[in-house]
Amino acid sequence: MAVQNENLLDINGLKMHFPVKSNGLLRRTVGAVKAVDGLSFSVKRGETLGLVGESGCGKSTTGRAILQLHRPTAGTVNFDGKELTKLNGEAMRQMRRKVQIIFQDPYASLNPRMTVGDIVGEPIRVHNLRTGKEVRTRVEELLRVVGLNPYFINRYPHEFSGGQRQRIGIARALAVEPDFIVCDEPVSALDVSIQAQIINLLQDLQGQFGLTYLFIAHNLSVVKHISDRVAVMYLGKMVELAPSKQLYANPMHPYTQALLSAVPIPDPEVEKQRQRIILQGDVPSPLNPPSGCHFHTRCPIVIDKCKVEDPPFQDYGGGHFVACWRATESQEQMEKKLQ
Amino acid sequence: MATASNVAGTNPAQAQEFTRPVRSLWSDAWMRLRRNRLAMASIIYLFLLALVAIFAPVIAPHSPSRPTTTELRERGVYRQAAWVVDEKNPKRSGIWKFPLGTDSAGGDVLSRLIYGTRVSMVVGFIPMIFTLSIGITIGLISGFAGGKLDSLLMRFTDIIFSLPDILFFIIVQTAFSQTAFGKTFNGLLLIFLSFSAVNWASVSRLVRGQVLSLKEKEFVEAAEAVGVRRGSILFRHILPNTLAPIIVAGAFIVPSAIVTEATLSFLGIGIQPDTNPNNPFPTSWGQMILEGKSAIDSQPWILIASAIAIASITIAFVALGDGLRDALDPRQ
Amino acid sequence: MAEAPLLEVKNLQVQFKTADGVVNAVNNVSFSVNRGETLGIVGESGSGKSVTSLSIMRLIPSPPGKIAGGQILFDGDNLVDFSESEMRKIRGNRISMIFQDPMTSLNPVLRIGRQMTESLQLHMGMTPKQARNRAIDLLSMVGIPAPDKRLDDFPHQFSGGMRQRVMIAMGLACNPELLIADEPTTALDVTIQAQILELLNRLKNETGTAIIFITHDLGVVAGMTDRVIVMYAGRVVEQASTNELFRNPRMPYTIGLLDSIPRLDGIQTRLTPIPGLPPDLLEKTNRCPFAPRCDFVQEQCWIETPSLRQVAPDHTAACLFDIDRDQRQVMAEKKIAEEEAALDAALEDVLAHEQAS
Ligand SMILES: Nc1ncnc2c1ncn2[C@@H]1O[C@H](COP(=O)(O)OP(=O)(O)OP(=O)(O)O)[C@@H](O)[C@H]1O
Ligand SMILES: Nc1ncnc2c1ncn2[C@@H]1O[C@H](COP(=O)(O)OP(=O)(O)O)[C@@H](O)[C@H]1O
Ligand code: SF4
Ligand code: SF4
Ligand SMILES: [Mg+2]
Ligand SMILES: [Mg+2]
Repeated sequence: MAVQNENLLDINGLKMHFPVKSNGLLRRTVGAVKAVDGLSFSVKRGETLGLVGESGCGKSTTGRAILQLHRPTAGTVNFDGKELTKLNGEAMRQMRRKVQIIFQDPYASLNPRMTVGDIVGEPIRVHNLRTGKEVRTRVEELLRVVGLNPYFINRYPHEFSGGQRQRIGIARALAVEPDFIVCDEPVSALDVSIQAQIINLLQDLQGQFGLTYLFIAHNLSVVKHISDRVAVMYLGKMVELAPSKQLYANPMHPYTQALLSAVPIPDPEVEKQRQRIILQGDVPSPLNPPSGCHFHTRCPIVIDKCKVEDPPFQDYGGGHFVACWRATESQEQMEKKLQ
Repeated sequence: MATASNVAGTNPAQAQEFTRPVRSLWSDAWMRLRRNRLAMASIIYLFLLALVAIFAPVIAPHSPSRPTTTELRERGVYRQAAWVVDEKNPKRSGIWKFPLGTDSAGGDVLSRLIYGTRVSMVVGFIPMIFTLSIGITIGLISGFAGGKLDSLLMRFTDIIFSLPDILFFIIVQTAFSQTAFGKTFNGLLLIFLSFSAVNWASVSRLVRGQVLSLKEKEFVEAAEAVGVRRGSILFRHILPNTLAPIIVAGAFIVPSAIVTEATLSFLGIGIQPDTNPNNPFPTSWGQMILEGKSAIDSQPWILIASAIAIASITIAFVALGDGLRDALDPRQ
Repeated sequence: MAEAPLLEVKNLQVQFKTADGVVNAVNNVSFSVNRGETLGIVGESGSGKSVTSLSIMRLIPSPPGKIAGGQILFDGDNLVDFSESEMRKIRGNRISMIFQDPMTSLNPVLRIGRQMTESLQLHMGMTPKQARNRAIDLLSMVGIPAPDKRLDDFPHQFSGGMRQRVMIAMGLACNPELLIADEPTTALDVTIQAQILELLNRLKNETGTAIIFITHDLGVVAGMTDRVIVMYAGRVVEQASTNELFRNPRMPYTIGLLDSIPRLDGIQTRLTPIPGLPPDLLEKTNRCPFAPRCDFVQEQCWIETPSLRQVAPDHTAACLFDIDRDQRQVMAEKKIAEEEAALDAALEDVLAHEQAS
């Protein structure tokens, strides 16, 4: 056997710019939404990489660009030795067996006119993984795997609750026996009590089938819980990437520090003690992001250099990547600011 | 099934889950439609009219075409409706043999009305099918393909959409009604085609809009991510989800086609009257209105009966369309 | 003795008539809010939090909804008996409300200033000039820069967080005695949520307004409230001071919620979820509403609806038994194993059935 690369997915300089057209008859391109603006990272086999950031920072776009649902503007997406951005037609279709996605909105992600059996069975038929009656048997098995009763096979999506629908979506993704799944905010639309069910299910499936996840969410507690490594995005760029424990114990980017301090903790005694870093203002528009470090307009410890030069995304030891000119002194400086 | 209770265990709430019948969105819609009394009454009325149209030769008491001379003597010309007594001219007083009286040529008005149902039904449904087929095809292609093709098709659609319909019909009818093509099925074919030729534009706009919004839906993306071919995405995922508004649009096209035919016939450029007793489409309600207008004083029921017929079928289709819209999209 | 509470809701009952039957959205809900206190209401989607708060404002859409019973005593007056015109004098003046969605709760075609000055002129009898000055003060109080200029903007020119600030400013415009905030930060990002929560905390200390804070985020409850009620299926199932509730939850549902959420400062390897789904409010039952999902369920729970009872000083819970958090883990695992086995059996069964046919 060939030696397997430790990384299942390697991404380099990924950019996804959406053109903005003028309204007139000519529909000239007048600008671009820089939804993803140069990401480089990799995902190891069998790990869960968490991706967090505020809404609109480009998390979903990153997921879709990896799957080639949006064709990236620039950059490479290397999956298991194959360059996805170059694949087309049949080769692309074959690749789709290996890379799957679970969506945020459990209502929009299932075709309301198809039964559960058809929804989960479609990938099996499309790739000829089973034939004839075996398709149905396989669908029933998959429903069982995601914790749904196989009796429900003839039901329609609107007859299910949000959590159950999310399970159907997961069964559909599993149907092609993928290696890698992009989970795009799979629990954000669910109630707390149901979230835990789905998180546990995703963890069990990972153990059972050796899956690799890119887990996108805006809830940092959830991401920390499920991920081995966590990446933080701000305005189309990655600002920090580190092993989960490391990131939470020792955040080096001022934005990560603010984000962590903003998360409420369900314990009144802890909450009373905490000091929050309150960021001023809002996230700028990705249509025309600030010069230099994208975060400089809100950064409490900004210096002149930040406004003109874009800090490199650089390893500060042990796979702890940070994009900040003041990464090594940021915690100290932030502390000073708080006083 | 006996096994359901195993799964449900001690939990009575779950036990109900398994015994609940499966409900597709279509069956849900049907249930909502059934609760709408006006829509259901319309369906029954239209169903009866369809029976009348099909069995016209059996139901009609007399032949709709010109009577023989002996018959004419019995029928009389412009005989009044059965309940009207004409004191000045007793020969024209109504008799129950001809409940709605007779027309200028001694034709039985009730029988004409019955045969006229055929034209209205055909004139309603066939152009609807033509219109929807063209509109759906163009709308689907335009919305799904996007880009240059979409812009091109949409410009074309806009041009068709902005044509003044009646003017277009008048020009087409005057140009072609005397040709062999124009005479096919008493000129019905020409009406079908010219109606469909201008009316598909609104359907294709509707369908394109639906396709564009469905294309953004996550379930379509999911199908793409799973490797479903583009054709299947279009026909399995997108098309079935556009059907609800298409059905509603269809229900509104029918009355509009019926009224168009009546208008054209009233203007004298619609279907061509036929005296051949074997012709299945000898007369239309629009023609009757035209005739009835000139005979309004001597035999008002030619006009009244056909006007009521047109109004009621139109109202029934509109009520059905409204009912369908509410049933298919409960959020609105 | 302490002074009388500002708001006292007694046995509130709210129903909605729908095509499928009568929805009992709020059942027999009682609670009170003291002056200057912040009361949290938590519960999952559909548990009746918004309906409860809309009832206090008498804003339940009617039909289909109606207050079917109970009392809402505000400063001694029963709001249920108030006429619409009497309510108008209370709404936005003595009680005001902030909604979840900052996008839809402002009128998109009116300038921010106009929307703010309207109620000031109405309730406080201010002249346009005075109202405008007060609006500027309010906007700067909630931290909007250059308020005199921003007053002439339309809502779409504001970001989500800024709109929520405007809503808060409007809520506080007439110095209300009670502010109801229905998930005011749910639609916002964490960093913006932190800004808004800090703002609310500051204003609360400055003005002494009592707040009902509705949310489904237990973290937010922990940081913002003095006392908490937990709602489930249109009922209050637990009530205690915030510290007590988090330290010593006694109702299995609350325990389940606390075990369901990962903590940023903790290291759980596995969450213990609540199995099953929230109940249908259509059926009227006489069992414990939580019974189908409860790890501690007993025979008795299927035939008796528990009512709130005292389980500790100033701590009530609606459970028939004395239960605490430590007992749960064992019970939960046992129950999950049972369900797995049942699903396995179902699959085998279906497969066998198909083989046969
Ligand atoms: N206008 C209405 N017509 C019918 N039922 C309604 C109406 N408004 C609310 N309900 C029902 O009342 C119940 C409680 O709803 P409510 O909005 O109070 O929930 P909530 O706890 O605020 O949930 P969320 O966290 O989603 O805001 C639900 O079952 C809901 O379906
Ligand atoms: N198809 C698209 N066309 C134009 N802009 C888009 C498109 N998809 C996303 N965007 C823009 O890209 C940015 C990032 O979006 P997204 O990746 O969805 O954010 P997130 O998932 O982090 O909330 C946003 O500003 C969004 O408006
Ligand atoms: S580079 Fe400068 S502006 Fe950017 S995060 Fe670091 S200190 Fe702040
Ligand atoms: S009464 Fe029974 S079912 Fe209800 S919470 Fe208590 S133990 Fe659980
Ligand atoms: Mg997203
Ligand atoms: Mg609510």
